[in-house]
Amino acid sequence: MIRMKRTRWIVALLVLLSAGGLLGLQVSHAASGGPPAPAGPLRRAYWRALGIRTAGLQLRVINAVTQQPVPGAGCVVADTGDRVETNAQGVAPAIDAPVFRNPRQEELLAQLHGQLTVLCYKNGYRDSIYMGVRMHENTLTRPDVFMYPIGRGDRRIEPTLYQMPVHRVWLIELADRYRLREEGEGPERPQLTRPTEPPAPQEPEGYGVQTPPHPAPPQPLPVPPEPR
Amino acid sequence: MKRILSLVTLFTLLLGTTTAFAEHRTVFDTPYPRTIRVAIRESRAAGEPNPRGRILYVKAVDFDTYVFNSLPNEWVPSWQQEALQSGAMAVKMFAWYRVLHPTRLDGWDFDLDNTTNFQTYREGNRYRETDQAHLRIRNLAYAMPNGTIVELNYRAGYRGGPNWEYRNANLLSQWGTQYWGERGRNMLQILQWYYQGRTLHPIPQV
Repeated sequence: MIRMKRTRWIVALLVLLSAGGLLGLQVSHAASGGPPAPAGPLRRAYWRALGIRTAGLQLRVINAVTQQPVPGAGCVVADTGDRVETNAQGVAPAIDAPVFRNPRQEELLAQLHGQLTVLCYKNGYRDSIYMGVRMHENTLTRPDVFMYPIGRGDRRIEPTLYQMPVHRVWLIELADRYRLREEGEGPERPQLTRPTEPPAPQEPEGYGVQTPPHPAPPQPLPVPPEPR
Repeated sequence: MKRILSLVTLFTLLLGTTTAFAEHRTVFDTPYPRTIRVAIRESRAAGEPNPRGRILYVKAVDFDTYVFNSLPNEWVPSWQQEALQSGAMAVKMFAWYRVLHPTRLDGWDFDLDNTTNFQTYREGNRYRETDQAHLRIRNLAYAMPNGTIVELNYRAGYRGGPNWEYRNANLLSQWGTQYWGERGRNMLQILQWYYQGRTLHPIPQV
């Protein structure tokens, strides 16, 4: 009886070890660029097993010029290797994606959200890279990815980048955390607000002055007389 | 003569009152905005719009789309639903007030811009939870008891507290909404705690 129990324990241990080994293999596979997580309903469990929370991600791809949806665009989450394709409405199926927070800032002041990098491809369009797509736990993120069509005369065709900034509420916390007393603007406080004041004027000359939409073309340089 | 004078005085008083009422637009005599004119300012090199930057163009945006794309930049989408709903109300009423009180600056006519001068608007940045928060309160307005639409201002405040100083300044604290949301307060209770002397009205025909 005792031997039977011991055998069961050994078998269970072996199963656990092999599962752990597979997990490790997958993680190392992810690091080397391969698709890491199992597809389907196991995906959420996989990230949970690694101690990482997940959130929904549903991409919509839009033509940046016509503002129309782009069907058949292939989009990849660079951090996980997950690949989806947009339908006729330019919408890709929702997937579970991990909420990766910056580990360096985790110890100082945990970010309010994770960030992912998304790439979209489609023939006839410039590749589009979205960095810093904000991922919040228990939410469905629905970002629009704008793609620029390649037009006549386009010679240097390279990817376009959009860098999504971190959330403002977290930025205010971060600035207040390292401030020495009233240094700089001082901590955020209601007295700073002047709601009746009109908006700030534009920057002075040299940076923010409104220019005419079609400035006059530069005058051609005078041709020096030919030497006799 | 006296009678004529008193009649003239009465007429002037009535005219004055009518003009005063015309300046205060209410929820009942103002249609729910269909669009809002957003001035798009030049971005900094890192991509964040510069509040003092040049206005590049003014874009007419569907009013609800404006709220959908502003709320997740002002409130954190993973916060409590009641906190998000009070945020949706503040964002909406701020924008509505601005539609009724447009700005003219450097030759541009607009209702608000896409920076922290007003509210941060970022195109194509939506979350299911913030969308739901706006849709749940879409037919409601938080205005003065007579329905006058006033600007609902807000600031971040501090994490983990009710932010009393913001209540005293009649300002909503974004962190404060989450604090109360975690303690079971509903949207109306949160709004009432920060903004005194205002009432929740149903918006006609919405």
